[in-house]
Amino acid sequence: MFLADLLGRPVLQSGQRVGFLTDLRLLIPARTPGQQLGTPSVYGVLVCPRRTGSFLGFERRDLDAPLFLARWFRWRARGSFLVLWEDLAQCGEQGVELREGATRWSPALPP
Amino acid sequence: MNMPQLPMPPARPEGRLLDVRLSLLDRQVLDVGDEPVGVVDDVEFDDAGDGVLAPGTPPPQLRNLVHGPILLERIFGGRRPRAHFDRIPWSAVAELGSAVRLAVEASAVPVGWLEGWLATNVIRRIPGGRHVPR
Repeated sequence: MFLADLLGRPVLQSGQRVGFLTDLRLLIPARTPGQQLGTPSVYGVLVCPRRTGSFLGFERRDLDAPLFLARWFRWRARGSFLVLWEDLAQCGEQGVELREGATRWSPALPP
Repeated sequence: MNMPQLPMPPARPEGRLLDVRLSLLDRQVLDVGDEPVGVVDDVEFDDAGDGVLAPGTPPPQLRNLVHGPILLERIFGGRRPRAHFDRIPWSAVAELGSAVRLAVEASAVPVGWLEGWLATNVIRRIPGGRHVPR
């Protein structure tokens, strides 16, 4: 499975489109034996209701400069949300679908 | 601003969170001696089969960084055969920052398909092309 196969794909829930996949969030464990850096696994998917998607992650980080651009890009990505892996019913080249009652979390990256 | 309206996710296992497109894609890859190796053009995860996820399915892990000439594919679409992808295994990655640093030398990274094909079918047919220049 390649990232390029997933980016921009419609995200469905109960047959309805709720947005488009804009990014994958990974969890890098502190350590994996035999490696200098732990092997990342998928933590969740970031969904934007519009195709405009995300630019430089203004909606995910506490960036407010340059002020006009920050507001503009955050407004363009309004309504974005994070869905954790366990709330996905399907994720692959065939499409991305959320489970019934999947929880929508803030897309902000923790500090 | 939508950020304050949604709750933050619950506590997660210890580790660092990273958004692939934001913090990994298009980053330069440097070998252990800071020699440039390539750019992260894509990443490859465990094969998810038909993609249908039963409850409790473990999340796929990132296996390889993919690099190579994919500009035309991004513009015009389509896909090279998977055997032609140039992959760097994640186990060779040492550090993530503004660049991706490897724990190995560039010579240990698999040569790209195009470079290998040119070496075999073009360069070695040129007189003097079969040895290191003196």
